[in-house]
Amino acid sequence: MATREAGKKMIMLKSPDGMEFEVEEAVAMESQTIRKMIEDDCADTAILIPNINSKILSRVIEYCNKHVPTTGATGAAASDTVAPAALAEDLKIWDAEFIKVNRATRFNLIQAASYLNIKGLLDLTSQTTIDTISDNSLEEIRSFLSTKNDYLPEEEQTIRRENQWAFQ
Amino acid sequence: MAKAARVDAAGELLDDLLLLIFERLPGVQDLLRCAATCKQWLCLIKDSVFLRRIGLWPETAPHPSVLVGIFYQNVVVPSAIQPLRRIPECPPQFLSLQAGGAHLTFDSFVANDDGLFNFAWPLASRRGLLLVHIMLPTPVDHQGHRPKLLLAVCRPLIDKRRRHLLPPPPFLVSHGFMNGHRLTGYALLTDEDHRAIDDLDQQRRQPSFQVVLTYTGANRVMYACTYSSATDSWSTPIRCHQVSHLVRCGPYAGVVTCGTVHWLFTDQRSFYTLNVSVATAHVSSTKIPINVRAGEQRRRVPFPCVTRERKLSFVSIRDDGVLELWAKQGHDGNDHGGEAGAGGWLRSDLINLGSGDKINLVFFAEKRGAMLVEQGGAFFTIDLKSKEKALVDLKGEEKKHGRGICRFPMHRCSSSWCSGFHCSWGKISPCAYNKPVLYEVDWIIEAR
Repeated sequence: MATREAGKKMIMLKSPDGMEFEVEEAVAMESQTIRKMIEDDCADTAILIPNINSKILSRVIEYCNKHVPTTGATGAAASDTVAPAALAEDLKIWDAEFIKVNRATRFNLIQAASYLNIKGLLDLTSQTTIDTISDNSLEEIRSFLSTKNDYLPEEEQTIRRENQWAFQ
Repeated sequence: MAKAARVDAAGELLDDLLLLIFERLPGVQDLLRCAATCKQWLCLIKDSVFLRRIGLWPETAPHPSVLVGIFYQNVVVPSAIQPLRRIPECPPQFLSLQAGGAHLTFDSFVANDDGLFNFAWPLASRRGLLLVHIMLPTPVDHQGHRPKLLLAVCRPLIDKRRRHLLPPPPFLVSHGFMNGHRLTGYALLTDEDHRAIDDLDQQRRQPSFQVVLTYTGANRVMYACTYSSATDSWSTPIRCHQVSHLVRCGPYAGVVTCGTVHWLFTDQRSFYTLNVSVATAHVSSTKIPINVRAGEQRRRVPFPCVTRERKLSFVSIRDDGVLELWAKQGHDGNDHGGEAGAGGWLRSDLINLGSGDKINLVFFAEKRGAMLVEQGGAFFTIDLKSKEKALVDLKGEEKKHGRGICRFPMHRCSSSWCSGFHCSWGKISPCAYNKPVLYEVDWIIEAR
């Protein structure tokens, strides 16, 4: 264990605005996109992450750090003393805190999760939007997600009539 | 995810991200509501690639459709000899296969302010229509008389107010297991089944439909009788002498293809279909080459379905859990060929479901071109063409609302494909359990 930890490989992630983040390979590999790059030997010491600014990238790394399977030093200690259920509960609370961000940030995080292919983060970040759609009227969905109703009244009426059950 | 999704300056979600969100919506209802939000969203949602990805439109299915859920009624049809003075309040129930809709009660589908459906049995469903048998209180002075058979056709999700009450059929039958006149089969057809539709919009707004009933009359002769909504009347019953020496089995709700309804019969050695063409009133029977296996015939008769080529087919469930598909080959058109031999049928293995968990419910989803199977509390579809098995993801709803397995009484034959007989205390009686009905509706939003 000790020797493996000593030889822990680090990966450099670069955002387009020039910031560099050094992360453990295991953390970076939470992203399936990066995992594939590493496995295909496409990754040098530094990987440029396009489209994701440093602010968002740092949050993504924060998420991956927390969610990386408990093989890291802190993780191993935690899993020895805390029951898995409590650990999962702890993660849930952490996630709930993590996602308390404004809408633009949340959308940027969805975008990042999608590009980097981090399923857990994608589920987490899209859930708020999904809840918005599930729990609100059309008018509210439109205002929350800033879309414009470009239907003619009779067009909207037709869709509503033919799919009545969805609007109850 | 090779292509990077983008968020524009105003913080709006752009197409790729919207699709990611839509894909994750718990139910089709939410998707439909999104489609009604704006034209951009509608465009994204009606894309055939997207519909395929979320499983609404498998490669092999002719049209996208939604498996909305299952209507069922666990209360057995009472013996009609006793007049019914009081109506117990037990409308049909509904098990949603769409997460988020599990709380739906019958009156959220069909207007029931007057209690018309308070004692009702769902019988069959086709293209969004639902055929229901209703029981109303019968006056006491009619004691000894059979009450008239009351049937209604409604459009649960599409038009809540539409309840079409059929006039009583020109014969007296009971929908239970009684001596004498007895209902042995029913089917629901729409105009789409046997003629070209000129005005699809009109058909969608007010679909015209036909109801076919089969019953055994005096001397155990079987008759078929058709109701047409266009004329609001029943046809003269037609004698089906072809099956008078046979016993009915399989689903009560007949399988419809090319305007012909098929029901399964057996003489305890072989299986036969009774074929009734609605347009021509032609009646025939066809022997099918699946043998009745010793000891099995009372439990698992072949399950009728229709292939994408609109051929009548059967799925036979073997004891080892292997499902075999028997599909008729060649161009026989309308299946009126009479007694066809074993030739012309192709048998292929569909899937192996294993013999561990009991297969409880089997339905056929016509538009999906797939079987819906419930095994061990989980629902999944089996595509007849691609043979692929796909789990119906109830997203935890089944745990919240009790697993599907608990909803249908296991001590009775709850399967939609029972042998039609019930064996208790060594006595064999016709199965009185009302079969659950799969409710599949077309995905109405035009796909592209």
